[in-house]
Amino acid sequence: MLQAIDLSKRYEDGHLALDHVNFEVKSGEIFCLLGANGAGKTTAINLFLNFIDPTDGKALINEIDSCKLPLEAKKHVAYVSENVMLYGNFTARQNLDFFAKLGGKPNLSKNDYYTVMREVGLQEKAFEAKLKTFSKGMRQKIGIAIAIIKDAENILLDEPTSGLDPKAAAEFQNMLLRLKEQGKAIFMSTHDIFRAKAVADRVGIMKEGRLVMLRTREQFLEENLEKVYLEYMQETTA
Amino acid sequence: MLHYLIDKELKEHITTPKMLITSGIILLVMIINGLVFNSQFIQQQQKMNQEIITNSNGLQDNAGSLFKLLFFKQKLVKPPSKLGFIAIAKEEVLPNGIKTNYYKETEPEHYKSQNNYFSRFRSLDWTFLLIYVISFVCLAFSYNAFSGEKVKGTLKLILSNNVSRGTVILGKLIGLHICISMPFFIGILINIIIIQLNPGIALTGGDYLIILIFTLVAFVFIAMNLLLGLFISSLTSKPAHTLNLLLIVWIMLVIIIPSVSWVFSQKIIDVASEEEIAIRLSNEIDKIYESGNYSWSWNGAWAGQQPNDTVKRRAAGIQATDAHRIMLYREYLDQKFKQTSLAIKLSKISPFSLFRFIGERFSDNGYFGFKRFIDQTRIYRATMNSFMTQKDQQDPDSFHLLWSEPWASGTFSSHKPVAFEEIPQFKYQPPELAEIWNRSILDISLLIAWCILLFAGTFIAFIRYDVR
Amino acid sequence: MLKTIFLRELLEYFKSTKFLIGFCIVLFLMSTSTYLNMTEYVQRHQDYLSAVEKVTTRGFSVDVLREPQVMSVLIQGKDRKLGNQLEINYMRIPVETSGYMGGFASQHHRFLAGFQAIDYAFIVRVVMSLLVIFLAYNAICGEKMQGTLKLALSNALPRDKLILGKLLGGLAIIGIMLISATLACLLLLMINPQIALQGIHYTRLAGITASSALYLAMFFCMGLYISVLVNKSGTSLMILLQIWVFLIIIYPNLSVYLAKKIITLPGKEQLADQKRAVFEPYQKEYDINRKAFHDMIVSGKRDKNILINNFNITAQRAAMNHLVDMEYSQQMTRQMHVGHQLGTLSPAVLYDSIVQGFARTDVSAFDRFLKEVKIYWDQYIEQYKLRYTDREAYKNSDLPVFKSSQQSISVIIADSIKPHILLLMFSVLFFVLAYTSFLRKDVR
Repeated sequence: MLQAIDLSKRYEDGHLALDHVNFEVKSGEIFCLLGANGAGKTTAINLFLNFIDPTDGKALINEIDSCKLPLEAKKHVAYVSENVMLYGNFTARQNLDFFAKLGGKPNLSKNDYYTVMREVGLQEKAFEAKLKTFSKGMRQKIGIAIAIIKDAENILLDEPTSGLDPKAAAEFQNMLLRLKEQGKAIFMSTHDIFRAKAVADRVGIMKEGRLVMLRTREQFLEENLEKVYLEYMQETTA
Repeated sequence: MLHYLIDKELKEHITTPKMLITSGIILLVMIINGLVFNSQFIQQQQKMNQEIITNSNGLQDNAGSLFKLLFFKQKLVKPPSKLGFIAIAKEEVLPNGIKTNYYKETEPEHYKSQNNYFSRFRSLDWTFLLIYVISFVCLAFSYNAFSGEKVKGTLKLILSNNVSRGTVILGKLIGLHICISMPFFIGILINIIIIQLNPGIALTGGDYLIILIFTLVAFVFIAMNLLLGLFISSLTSKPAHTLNLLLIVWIMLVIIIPSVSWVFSQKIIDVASEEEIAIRLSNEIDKIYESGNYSWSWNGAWAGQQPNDTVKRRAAGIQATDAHRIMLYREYLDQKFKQTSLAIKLSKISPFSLFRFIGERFSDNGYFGFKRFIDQTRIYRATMNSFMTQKDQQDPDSFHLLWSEPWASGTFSSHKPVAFEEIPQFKYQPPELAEIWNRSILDISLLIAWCILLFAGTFIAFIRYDVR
Repeated sequence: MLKTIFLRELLEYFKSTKFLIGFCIVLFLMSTSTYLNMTEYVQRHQDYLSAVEKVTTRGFSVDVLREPQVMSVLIQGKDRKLGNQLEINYMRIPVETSGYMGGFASQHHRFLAGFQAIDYAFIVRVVMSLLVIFLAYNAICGEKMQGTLKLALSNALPRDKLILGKLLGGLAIIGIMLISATLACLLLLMINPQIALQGIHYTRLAGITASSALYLAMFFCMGLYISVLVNKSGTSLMILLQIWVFLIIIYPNLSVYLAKKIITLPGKEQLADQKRAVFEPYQKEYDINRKAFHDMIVSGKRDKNILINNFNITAQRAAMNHLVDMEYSQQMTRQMHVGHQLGTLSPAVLYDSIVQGFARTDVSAFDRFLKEVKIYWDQYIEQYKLRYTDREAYKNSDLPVFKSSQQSISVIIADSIKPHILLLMFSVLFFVLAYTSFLRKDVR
């Protein structure tokens, strides 16, 4: 479970990136956070991962405060970043192997890695290819494979479908749904409203650091989510 | 976790082109060092042995008469160091010998054929390799340690796991250290094999121990270089910025500080010119004779007669002059030593200089080797003079008046033969490991302190490093 | 298009921290080293002038002095190392100066030889060449990694213009750094009242600056080439640094070592044997004359014929010994030249030989001095002989004045054409390689 309790972050230059944000992501749930660039979506992820400290409030992972006990908290979360570069001179398997070990899974076999790579839709011939030969979509798949192999209860995804073609995005969507069925709590920040509608159990809209809208699946399926989102964004620009 | 990070660093760098180039250069320099050292050492050793034999023959030839022995100018030489491949240290330029007899002592000179027309480039020894090649390599491997991983996005990924930042630093340090130390260590082994193939160079157990300890110190030096790169990398977010900063730091520490240290030492400790010393000596000699106790006149007795007052005063005057000359020139030499020593101390602000002078201590070359040699010659001269004085005292036919005018003093000193086996012979004693250790421990400790300081700095900077 | 690229490159360099920091370092080092070397030169020159004043002796020996070169402030070369004082008499014509650095207040003692002195040549050869590498190593691969190379070439920009623009931008920056540094040094020299610069010095300085620019241009072209060849900045830098270490440090050492192996210098004993062999036909006559001279001293009766004979034979012996010594000296020069030939591929060796020539601090300046010493010795002997043949004439004659000639700038330029051409060839070669590689480079 992921919990943001009155989570706030004000940077040194005075900019308020997050303003008392509250949300919860339960096991077996996908929570999508929508918002414009600079709304605070990535800041929320950075706070969970203790890359920065909150000015106020708490970010809890399985009820462990990630600011007070970051290492303990990180045992229970997997992360997929926006631009997955990884180690170009390593093969896909070698990259997986390294991050699996860091993630507390030192005893996995080659087949285990191959299984996960198949699961994310990577072609067999790419398993032992160097990552510098991969396309963005392929690297993204490896990023997701890293998250899967860690088998953490919670997953944080930062704009995972940005730059993916529709086919790759669709494959990704299916994977997310499978992970949800496994009982993972999934937090995804994204611009992709279409994808959010397809997978999310709950959706939140961030605007200038505040969570301005929170809807369940039933609620946003009733409403026109795109229209609601754009209205909020237009209010921003207006 | 740590071993995974180390493993990753090794795998990431071992098969890269930059690793291959690095290994190639390191091995090339070590091979060249071994081959060049072999040929030069044999040549120098043969020359020095010749000098030693010639000197010994000279002693033997002059042992027939104590009087001749008093005037025989021995040439005391410092043989080349067996461990010179560690640090050659301007041995082509520094003096390696001194001429001395009972009455006089020359300024140190170098007894090698040398061509002053060549420009002085750095010698290809171990300290050169470490200071100029490996330090560059460390720079090139570590400058993007954190900033590069940040740009790639892998730093965030690593830290999103149960890995502390301290572990990340250690993983980088140890991983990179192994990458760079491996070709260096292989180079050392090849170098030693090449040197040992030379039958004229016999390294003892003690020598191997010295080499081993120096190798360990070299590893500390490599760690220091890597930590410097890691520290700078943890201060910046872009690899290009790290490189700029590292370049400035490298130029400061390797070129500027050592070069200006001698300038400051020259300003702080003034050393007179030879002309000034000559003038001073001349003035002191005048003062000696103005005192009225001595005389230049010669109204002396000849063979078989007791020295009269004139002879005694002349002898005393010349003895005093000679003693003053030796004292003045020794003071002059000591003043030069002081100035050099200060320059060395000032340059040790830079850890690269620290390491360089550790190398010179271990190889017994450079300023330290030369100073040891001079100290030993002074002790020997005192011993030899005491021996000859004693021999003269034992001769009842001698009037025991020894002064440096051979045409006049011959009648007043002993002409008895001296047993060659009894004559003290000069043999330069290279330092034992214990002495090297005692004299280098402070510098080694400072080098380790640098490592600790840089690690602490890296740790503190990296704790606050923005990994996003 | 070319102008746009060129101006962009210039602006990029001016705004980059690495250029600004590098520029400041160069200016600082140049000014400081010039100031320190200038102080030292002034001292050496004062010592020289004091020594010249004292050379009025009619005694047994006379000192011959070599004036320190003004340009040694910038290019030390061999000016200090080879010393500037030697003592001649009718028994001896030395080919080495007395002591290591001369005996005056400005001497360095040998122990500090371990600390390298910094001069203009050192800063250009080592520091600036490194800086140029740091400026050039990511000229192309850096832009590729950033994605701006694709962006630039997505316009109607021919590739050859792009690479030419990069070259011109780099050369302009080198020129700006070098000229600023040289002007700073020149200013320091000009404001020092104890240093008198003449027209010829400005010409020499212009030659030194131009040669330095060519040397640095070679490194820039090399950096450009490697930057085109590889795709990663880190790899490019590593390759360039290792090439730099090899060319500037390892290879010159190797060539010195090989030269010493190819041309071995005779030892002191061999030289002594050669001198004995050369004088062998006259040895008997010499011994007879020396004995006669010794007997004359002991007897206390002055014999003019014995004095003249002794003088003549001793002077002849000195001249013959001098031939052997000069041959040795020529061997050293030959050894050095072989070292230079072998080191031709090292830009550092080429650069040193060029700038030392311009500054008159090279070995050939010292060789010329030795030849002039011999000419002076002949004049001195003629005058000294009068002591025995015509005492009155001797008393009324003046001690010959030692004159040192200046080599004209055209001769220096002519001598330096070959290394200049080599440096230029290397620069052109690297640029052509960069150019042709870049035309075919995959910029994606």
